[in-house]
Amino acid sequence: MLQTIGDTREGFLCPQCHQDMGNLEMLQVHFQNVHMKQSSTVVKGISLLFEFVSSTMSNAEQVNKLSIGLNSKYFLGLFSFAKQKLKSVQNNFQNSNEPSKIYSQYFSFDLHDYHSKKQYMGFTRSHYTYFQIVRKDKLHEIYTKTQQLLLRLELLTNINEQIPPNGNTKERRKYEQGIIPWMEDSVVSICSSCSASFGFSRRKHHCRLDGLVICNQCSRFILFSIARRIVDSNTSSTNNSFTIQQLMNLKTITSSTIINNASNEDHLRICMSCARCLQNYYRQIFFKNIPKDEIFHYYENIIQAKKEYTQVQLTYVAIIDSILSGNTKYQIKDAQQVYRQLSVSYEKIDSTSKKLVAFADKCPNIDENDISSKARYATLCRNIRMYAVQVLQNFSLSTRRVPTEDEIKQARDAKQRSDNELMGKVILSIPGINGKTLELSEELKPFIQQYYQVVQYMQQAKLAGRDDEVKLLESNLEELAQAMRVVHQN
Amino acid sequence: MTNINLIEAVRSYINRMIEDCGPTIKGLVMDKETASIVSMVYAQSEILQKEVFLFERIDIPGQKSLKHLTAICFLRPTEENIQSLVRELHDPKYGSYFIYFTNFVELNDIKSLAEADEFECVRVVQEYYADYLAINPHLYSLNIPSTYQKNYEWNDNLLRRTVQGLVSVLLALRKKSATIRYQKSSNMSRTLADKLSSTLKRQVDFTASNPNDINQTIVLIIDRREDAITPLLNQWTYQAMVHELIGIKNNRVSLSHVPDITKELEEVIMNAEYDEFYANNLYSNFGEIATNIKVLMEHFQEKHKSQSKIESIGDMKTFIENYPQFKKLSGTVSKHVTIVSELSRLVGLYNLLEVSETEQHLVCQGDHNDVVQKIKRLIKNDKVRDLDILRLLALYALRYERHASNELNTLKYEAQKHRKLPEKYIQFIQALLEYGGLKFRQADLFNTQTPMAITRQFIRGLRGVDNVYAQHVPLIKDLIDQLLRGKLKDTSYPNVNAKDQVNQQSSSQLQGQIIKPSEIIVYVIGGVTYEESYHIQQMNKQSARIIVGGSYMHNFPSFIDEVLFAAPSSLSAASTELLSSKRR
Repeated sequence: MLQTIGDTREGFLCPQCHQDMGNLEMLQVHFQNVHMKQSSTVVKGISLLFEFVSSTMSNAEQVNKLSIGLNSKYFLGLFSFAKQKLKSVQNNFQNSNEPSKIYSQYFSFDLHDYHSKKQYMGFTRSHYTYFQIVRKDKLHEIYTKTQQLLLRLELLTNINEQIPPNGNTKERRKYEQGIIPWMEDSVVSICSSCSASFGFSRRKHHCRLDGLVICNQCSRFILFSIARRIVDSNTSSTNNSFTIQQLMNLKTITSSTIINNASNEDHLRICMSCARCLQNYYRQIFFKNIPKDEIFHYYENIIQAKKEYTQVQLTYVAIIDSILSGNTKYQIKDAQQVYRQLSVSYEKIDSTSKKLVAFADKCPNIDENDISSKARYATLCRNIRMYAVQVLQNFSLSTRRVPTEDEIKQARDAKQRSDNELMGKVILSIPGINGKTLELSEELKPFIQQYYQVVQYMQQAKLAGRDDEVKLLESNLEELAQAMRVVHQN
Repeated sequence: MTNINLIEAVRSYINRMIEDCGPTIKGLVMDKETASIVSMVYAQSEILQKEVFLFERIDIPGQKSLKHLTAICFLRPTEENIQSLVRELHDPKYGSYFIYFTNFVELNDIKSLAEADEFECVRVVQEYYADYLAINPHLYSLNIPSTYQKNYEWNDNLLRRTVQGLVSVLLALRKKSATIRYQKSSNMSRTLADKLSSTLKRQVDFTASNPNDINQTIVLIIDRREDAITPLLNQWTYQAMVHELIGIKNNRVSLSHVPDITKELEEVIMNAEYDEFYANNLYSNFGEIATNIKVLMEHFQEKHKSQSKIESIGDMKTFIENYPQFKKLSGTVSKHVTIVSELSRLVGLYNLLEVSETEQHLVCQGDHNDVVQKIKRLIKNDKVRDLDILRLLALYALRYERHASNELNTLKYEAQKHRKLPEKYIQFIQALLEYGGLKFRQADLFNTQTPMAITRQFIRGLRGVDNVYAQHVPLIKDLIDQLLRGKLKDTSYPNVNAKDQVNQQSSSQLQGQIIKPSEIIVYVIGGVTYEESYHIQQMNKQSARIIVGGSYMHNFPSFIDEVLFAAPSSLSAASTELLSSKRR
């Protein structure tokens, strides 16, 4: 249509036929009479247009303001430009049925995504396979080394069975060297650990586990008794829980000085790297055997009670629903009984989580001075309590009270009424029975009740899609109707 | 309507993390940045319901081991974090670790982690690309307050962070590739575009996409320096206004300076995900909010009346049942009433209506003499803040930079005569001209240069100004409109891949067809504003699919800092001194 600048017109143009109607009222009348009947979708367009026109008029002042600021030479050319623009804006209004979606034309959609509406989770990438490969290699390396050390440790601690404790030191040394050959003193001039050179004040020593030459400062000492326990914990012998228990009480398994305790116990001199390896092994055992903190037991109890509550609640809701819809399947005392069960679980969650709060203040098993760990423990306990409180809140919001006798009576009465009404309707639909004569025949009542029930069963069966049953019931109905007709005629 | 939602994207990542851990007691281990990322989309109480009971920072070491706790480590893949994790795995505080990185991790780092995991505690090592702050469904930020280094260049760390952020936005929205267009006049945007493109290409797993894929995502990278005006203006929509006058930081608003504030309202959380009133009024203007808050108040009072009338046990029970909602409602009411009344107090106190009208007039119409008179009058008005005078001077400086009778110096003189403007402010004007003046700027911000632009301005005038305080339309909207209509010039906003795909590109260009994008992702180097967010939201309401974000959510004060920080050292040494003392 109005494509060229030369054809630009202004005024109260009808957007459909471009007649100038002179003023707003005329345009409105014209539009209603001529175009309204054609299409209702245009109405939106025209009403928007009216808004547009009126807002343009009200802003004439604004336009004037603008024109003052502008160079007047521009302005003349500009005005026709603007008018043309206006036209195109008007056309836009006419053409688009839903102006609120004007941007959709500029975007392409993946139709599948668009309809499903739900946003999928973004991309992810796993590195776990590679991680596992690297970890496996590393762990294997550690395992081999540790096993080797443990084997030597076992043999070394068996020395007293081979050679009497008070026996020849030379022979003892020989035994030790038979397990792992010692490095030749003469070829070593510096400590293999700290690289300090040996001399008069820095004597040479040997690590009994790998035979390296080290100085006294770089030596660690492990008691036979501890070494034995570590070795025992490795062998999967039947009863090592006691050994582990004993180990768990230790802070460290090696010491940097020889402990001269009363028993003057045997010990082994080892280098730091072997000591580290054993220490790591010990930490593994320790880590595996950390006892479950009490809070976890309590937490499990809470979760257990929560599960119970949710399960019982299902039964409870079913009972309440049944009672409140006027059915007589359940009695009020059934509801009360189940409600008591609920209260027990509820109480359990509440009391258990309260105990946790007490823990938050005491912080058992945590070092007095370890303030940050204590704070962390306390937060954990309090947050679990908060969680429990939220759970309880949700429970009390979602659980209805046990209905009172009155409520039940009302519900039953209401059901009675609606049943009667429905029965009345059903009677009218029984073929061959005249509803009006009904009140007279008392003997028909049981039949009608039966009929009504069958109709209800049939509806249920239909809803559940059990076609066979529906057919069966239909024939049932027919028989009933037959019987009733017989009774009725008599 | 749209199914691209930045908040939902982060939430679904976090949900998955928590679900994958199973039903045990969990702790969420985060770093400083991921802690913000999570807090933007999840309320602590909600996360608590998923059995996450501890929230810890990876950079706080040394605590007693609780072996039966499970750790969800949600971390950025930075060097420090990898090191902290290695330390942690050597001496585990938790029994098992589910590790999620927000971005690409080097294989070397995976190796160090694997070797540290002697206790075999690690169950999962994944990349979940939630590496941005999701503020609204269409709005994100990378929380970098100062992007520009001296002379407006990148610093390597920030460039890397920015590329990571953009990559994660794409991947979180399941976009494997994108057409990247950038502002040619800005070196920084070109560098970023190149780096983003090469990073996307390098990650073969994701970029193996069909070249004929009709669902093109366009990434548009622009530099804040092209439009230095938007951050200067006073705002009148709720979210923007709160940020401009009070300040929003990670959805938190500090009200401690408000007179007679109660303790619990000193800091409030404004999260549209959890606050219906806020969600409904984010983009309402000040007038509408006043009406809406009245409705909210009435609703509350009605509730309150029914709540306070407890006569029987039954009433008591319903009271307890409704109390949580009631409490929530009362929290919402007192929060918003406080904020809105504070806003209106500030509006009156600082004469913001008049200031704002002058700003808009200056930007959108601008009769020079008229503007000068208005500014002079406001300078003498004691109610008007120095900060707002600075806005006007800065706008004037940009608008009439090359005007024949520029009176900037007179105005500065007047301003200093009547008030004690901080030295920083005077330097800001100079720095701003360097930052976004005509020397750098290509866009016709004031619509005064070409007949087309003047027409556009004129048309806007004709359409009617329904709100004199919101006449300004940010450049970003114009750029997107041009982009959508295929009118954004390749010479000013080239496609980064144009070199590689000369044949494909030019052939389609020759046929004159515009490839419809499936969505547009905008990134503004140097920060984005809530005004821009508002305009994009309005477009999205009309079926557009646009996501906008930037290095920072700026308001005027934070913008001043960034501009001054970026100012070339040639500007007086005093300014840098002043700044450095402030930054320390």
